[in-house]
Amino acid sequence: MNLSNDDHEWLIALMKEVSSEVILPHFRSLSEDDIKEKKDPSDLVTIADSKAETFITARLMDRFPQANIIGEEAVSDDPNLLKNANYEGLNFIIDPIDGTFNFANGVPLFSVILAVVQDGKTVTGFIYDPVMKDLLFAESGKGAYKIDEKGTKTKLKLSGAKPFEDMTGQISRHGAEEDLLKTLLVNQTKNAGCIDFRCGAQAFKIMLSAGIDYMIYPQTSPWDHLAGDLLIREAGGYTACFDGSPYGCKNIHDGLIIASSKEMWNVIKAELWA
Amino acid sequence: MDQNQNVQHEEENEAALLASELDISEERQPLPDELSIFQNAPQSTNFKKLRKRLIKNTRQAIEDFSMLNGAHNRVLEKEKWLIGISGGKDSYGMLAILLELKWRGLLPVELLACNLDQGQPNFPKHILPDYLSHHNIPHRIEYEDTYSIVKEKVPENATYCALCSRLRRGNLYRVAREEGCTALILGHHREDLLETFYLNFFHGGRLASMSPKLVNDAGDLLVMRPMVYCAEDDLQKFSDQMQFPIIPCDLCGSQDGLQRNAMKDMINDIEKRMPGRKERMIRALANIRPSHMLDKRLFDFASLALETEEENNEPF
Repeated sequence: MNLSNDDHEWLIALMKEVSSEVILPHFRSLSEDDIKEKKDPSDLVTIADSKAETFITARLMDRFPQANIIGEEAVSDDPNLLKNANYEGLNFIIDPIDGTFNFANGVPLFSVILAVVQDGKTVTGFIYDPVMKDLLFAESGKGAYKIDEKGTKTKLKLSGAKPFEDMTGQISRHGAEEDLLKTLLVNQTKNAGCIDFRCGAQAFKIMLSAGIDYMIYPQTSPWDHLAGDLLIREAGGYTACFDGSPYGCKNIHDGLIIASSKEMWNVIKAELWA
Repeated sequence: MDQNQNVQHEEENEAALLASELDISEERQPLPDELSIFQNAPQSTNFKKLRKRLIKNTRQAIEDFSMLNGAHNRVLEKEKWLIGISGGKDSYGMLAILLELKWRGLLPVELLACNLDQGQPNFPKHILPDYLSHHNIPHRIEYEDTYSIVKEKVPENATYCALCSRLRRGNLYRVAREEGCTALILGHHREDLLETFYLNFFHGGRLASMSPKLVNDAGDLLVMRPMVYCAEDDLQKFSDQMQFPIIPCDLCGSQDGLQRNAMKDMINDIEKRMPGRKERMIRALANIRPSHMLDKRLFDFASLALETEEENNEPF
């Protein structure tokens, strides 16, 4: 089933509704009991994450009963959901709050991420910022756009070519092997600097406004990266796993390098892995 | 744009409009491109009152009949409306009013003006495209020779209206589909609705006027009439003062004995004898009492009955 423009408008309205009705009411209003650690003290989940994912999932199932829905919190409860996912047919991949660490600590840098995967291919990606109320949207083959709070639509753009020493990027530590992480971080000192918003969606947002030049993820998850990956490619960028193979919904431990172009990708790979 | 932003945008635009109204200098300030059609409009108080009245009536109709239908919530792509422009006073007036509403942020849709050149002899082909282009109004001029069909098919003693309008409507639907429009917008006004009501009442054996909003038979387009509350003489005065380049249609008007003209004369006569009746009549069309009419499909007369003694004695 291919989604129509009306379906896309509905999905956007859903993201806005869950933001205003479920997520924002809990922002800076969490009690201690509302926040739990998952794997470690920096890996958090809040009551807002759970409620938001439940809300989104229920609405998606109602409108698209034939779709598969993979949400971060559902997989956290049952990892087999991800292991057994074959991504055939229509799939919705949800991260109800990307940047939970920020959300739990009252920092307004978090987003709702939704990727639509059709027969194994990401066809639409949405990243919605509940605080700034702007949306990043890409549809396969149709470009990537930002639509701000006033409804103004602008084409997303990436940074231009530049020497490695002038580049700024983000290197995620999540799932990184120690030796590799040391190599990457040491080599990153050769360039202009790094950012880390503790929110992949916000990092994608700044890259898509040409603010940074690359992103490195040693470990990926479909709910965190599929939508952003499509946005980058539709904006003219280049993405691939560490070994240069195409990144897709089943890649978890294959790493992901995101760059403004294939040429920049090659430079970044060569310099950071040196 | 959500409702709060609409209110804020409207307040800002109201302030700008008020400022321009208070400006009594002789030098006319240039208007934004979107309001180019008003560039040479009179600056008299009477014209401003007329313009405000037409805006108010149009807004009321758009709201009463939910013509925007969730358009405010669309983010990726605005809905597109095809505005039927005949070159007559009513459709020019409608276009100007809708352009102003759009500029005020009250109409979150794309507007595409469309004229169907039906092939009448001596139709001045350049007038509309020149006017619309001059004011940067997106438009499409479509040519389809329905005139020849109407002249050929309609017997001498019959009127052209039914066939002409059907052919015109079919072509406008086609253009709307080709342009990705969700709605066709027509400029029928208060008097059109009243005349139609009386035509149906006297000759059609039914109580019906024109629909302010309907879905076409194919189910893929809305047809909407946002001017239903606007008075014809307001639109006439507006057109005169805006100096729209009117294109007369000599197909319909040349026919004698049109029943619609008889209805128009009757309604105008009633208005002359009892001023204010037209406004009362259009409000009456929105105030129907099914229980006081004879259509048993609209009111369940069968279920009306006195309560029996048994029902009276039943405990609560």
